[in-house]
Amino acid sequence: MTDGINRKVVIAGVGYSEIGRSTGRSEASLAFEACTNAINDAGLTPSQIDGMSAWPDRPPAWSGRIGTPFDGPPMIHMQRALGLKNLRYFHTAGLGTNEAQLGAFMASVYTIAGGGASAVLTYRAHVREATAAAKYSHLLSHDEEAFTQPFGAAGAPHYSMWANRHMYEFGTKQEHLGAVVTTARYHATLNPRAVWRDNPLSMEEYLASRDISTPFKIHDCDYPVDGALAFVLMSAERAKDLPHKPVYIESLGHAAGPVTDFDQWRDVTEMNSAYAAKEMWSKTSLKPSDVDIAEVYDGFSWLSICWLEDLGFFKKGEAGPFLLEGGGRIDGALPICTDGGMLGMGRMHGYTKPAAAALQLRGEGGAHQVKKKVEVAIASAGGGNVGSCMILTV
Amino acid sequence: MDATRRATTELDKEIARTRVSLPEQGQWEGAVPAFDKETGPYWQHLSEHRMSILRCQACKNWIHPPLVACPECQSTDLKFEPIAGTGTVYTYTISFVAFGVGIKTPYVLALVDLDEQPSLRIVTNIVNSELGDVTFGMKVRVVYYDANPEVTLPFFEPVGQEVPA
Repeated sequence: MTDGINRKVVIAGVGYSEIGRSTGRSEASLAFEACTNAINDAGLTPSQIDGMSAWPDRPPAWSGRIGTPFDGPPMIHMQRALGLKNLRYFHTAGLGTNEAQLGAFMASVYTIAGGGASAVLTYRAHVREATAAAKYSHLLSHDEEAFTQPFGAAGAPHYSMWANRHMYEFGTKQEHLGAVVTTARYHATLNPRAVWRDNPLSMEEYLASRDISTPFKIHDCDYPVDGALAFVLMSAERAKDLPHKPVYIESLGHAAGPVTDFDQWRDVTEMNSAYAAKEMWSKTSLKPSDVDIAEVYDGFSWLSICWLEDLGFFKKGEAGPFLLEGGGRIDGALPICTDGGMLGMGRMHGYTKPAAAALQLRGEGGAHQVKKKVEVAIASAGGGNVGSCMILTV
Repeated sequence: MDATRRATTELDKEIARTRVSLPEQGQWEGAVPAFDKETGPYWQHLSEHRMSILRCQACKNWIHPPLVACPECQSTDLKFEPIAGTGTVYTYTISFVAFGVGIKTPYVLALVDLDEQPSLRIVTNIVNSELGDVTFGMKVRVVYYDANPEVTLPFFEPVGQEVPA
């Protein structure tokens, strides 16, 4: 066992903003609400925060350019608005970070473990209209993108090619993808925050819904929303007198594959998750059989299936049948996407995953609290050629 | 192969019979590649309707997309060499939504393994086929499409009978 985080760092605060299909609000407004809630949840004041990070940042000098689909509010705006006047760590993770959406989160954990800060605020904010305006809008493709963009290799069809090969090799069926979706959508009906809270989805409705990129149907793609999420990460030492139970970070996994080019990945039936998971397990004495819930990434339904397999819970081709039997529901053997996931609560990228896990570990899931005792949880983000994961415990 | 191992989504019969073709000549509205330092010769050769791939002169490894050094031996003695322009479909998807400016739907996005070397992989669209006929392991060959007078894109079309991957 190599040295990992080993409970040296905790999630001390979790903060959500309003989540909605069209809130009419800015990314910064949503981020402010989530950050304020996270700081309050940790029982701190802004002056007690000594670090700040986000994925990704949008430097304001670039605000006139066409952005990426993933830009957030400028960090300099957020620092001033929140009154974070005592920072000694100010970090942004690039869009291409191999930890995917959790790059800034994980860098902050290591910074705290190494003594570079003791209470880091990290956030992710996202507005749906910004995504629609930003993506796929340039006509001259450079470098690696020149070999993909003219052929429409981006977004859903990029990932659906991977899913299709998994179906071919391991007998994964459309209904198995549907089981991820209906599980998430069932949990969404139990979560007042979820955008789909009033809209359950049956397997029949799923199968009848329109194709986007085979095998993905519209409901296999996460649901674009406006929303923000924030965490206060803290050294375990400093977290002795939190207003609630700390959630300990046991181990992080973020290893990269031997090739990180999406289109040059050799075996597309396993993702970067296989490398991240192997590293994560190598740094803990816990095993897959110790895990109570798996908040696996669901940007596209199939990614959850592949994550469950790559994390070592199932052999290839076995996660889909498990989910079809209801095993991923909150009363099942290994609940997934307990907050409704990004398929049911809304697309706020990977930050929803540690948040959902933390609430379950704290026993604050409300109507979507899982039925058994939750002591060990997985949170993961990313898919395809990028991805990272973590073990969280009480 | 056992019957439960269905390759993909069951397509509606009418959709399965839909034929995908090359974009019409002179009608390309999509992205085009920039001729960058490492990639320029690849695109230049395509505009002359010949296909070439960068090859390491030290260990004879084929390299795609082009890099500054061989990923196997790190030699920088690299040269574009002609290839046959044939391969097999490793995986694919039929997309009914355009994920790129100027892309016409439906389109078949595929990863094709070129015949010169295992996993010498190229991103392309399969054309001159009915949607329902595209399969894993299908033999394909390059078909050149002139996006504009300077730029030619390599699409692929089926040849002969399918073989299991």
